[in-house]
Amino acid sequence: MADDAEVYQKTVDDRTIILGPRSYYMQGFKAPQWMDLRVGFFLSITDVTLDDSTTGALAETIAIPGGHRIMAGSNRYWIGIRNKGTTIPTGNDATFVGFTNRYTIGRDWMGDTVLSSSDGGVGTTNTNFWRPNNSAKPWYSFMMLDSIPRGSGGRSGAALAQHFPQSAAQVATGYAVLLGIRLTRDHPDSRVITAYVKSTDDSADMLYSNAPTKELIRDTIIGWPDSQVIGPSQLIHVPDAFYFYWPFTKSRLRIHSVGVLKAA
Amino acid sequence: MPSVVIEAGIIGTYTPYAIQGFEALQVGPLNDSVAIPSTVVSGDCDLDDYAELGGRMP
Repeated sequence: MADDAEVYQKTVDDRTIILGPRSYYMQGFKAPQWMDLRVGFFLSITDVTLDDSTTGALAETIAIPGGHRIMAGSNRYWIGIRNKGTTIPTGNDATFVGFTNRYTIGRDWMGDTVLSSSDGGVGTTNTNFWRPNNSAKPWYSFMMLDSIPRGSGGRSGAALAQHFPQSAAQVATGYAVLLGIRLTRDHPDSRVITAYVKSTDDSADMLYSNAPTKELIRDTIIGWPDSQVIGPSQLIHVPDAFYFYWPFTKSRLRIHSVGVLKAA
Repeated sequence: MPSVVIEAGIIGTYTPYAIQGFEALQVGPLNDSVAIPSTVVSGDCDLDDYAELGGRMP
């Protein structure tokens, strides 16, 4: 049986995890008594067999069952933070805050899971990036969830789309995208949490880099950018772990670095 | 353990943080836990010393 992940030396300074297809990564963290918590992660995707190939036949559609039947959580993508646990964060024991294409209201019966070739809204070739999305609505892109949706991004404004660089020529600034989430609460024991996600032109991308280091995460999330606000929402659990799951079979998720910062 | 403290530009006090770059990662088979030494840690904010990898959803 193939491993669930491998390590790939992308550059001298970048030793990255490549998740196996439809496998998860979970790493807990400790940030007790936070009132302003910030997380960031440098990610990219590659071919299902080639460790460093962002072009080619990566586009994919995972169809909704239809007939109002529920889409399996394992057929959505999950990139963010949750309470410690390794299950797909759709069950009663899971709280998740992060990027996903799950339908944002009630039962998850709306929209295919799609990996699209995209220009990120800034080009015309439509080959600059890969963009995971829900075929029903582009703004099904960020959620606060604990078994049922508690809050979602994009509904009254721009989508919080994530763009994974595809064309090294067109995205010369970097092969990895930095995504991040800021959480705040009024006191350290509260479970009423507000999320902030960088938002510009329907994109949540914070930056792209060819040097996706932990130091660059730290330096970026210290000064949090203009954001879309999600919540406040009362959650069952307080997130204390990174969680990444990529549902596609023609591409794999690469994790270059992660960081958590307790600003208050 | 390396320890670094930085000043938070936001609130003007110390900012505890933990951050990871995967310099010393080993990956095992299905559902193995893998040791990931934390590399930059300060204050009371820290990463767990391992990550869990698995799944292989059908």
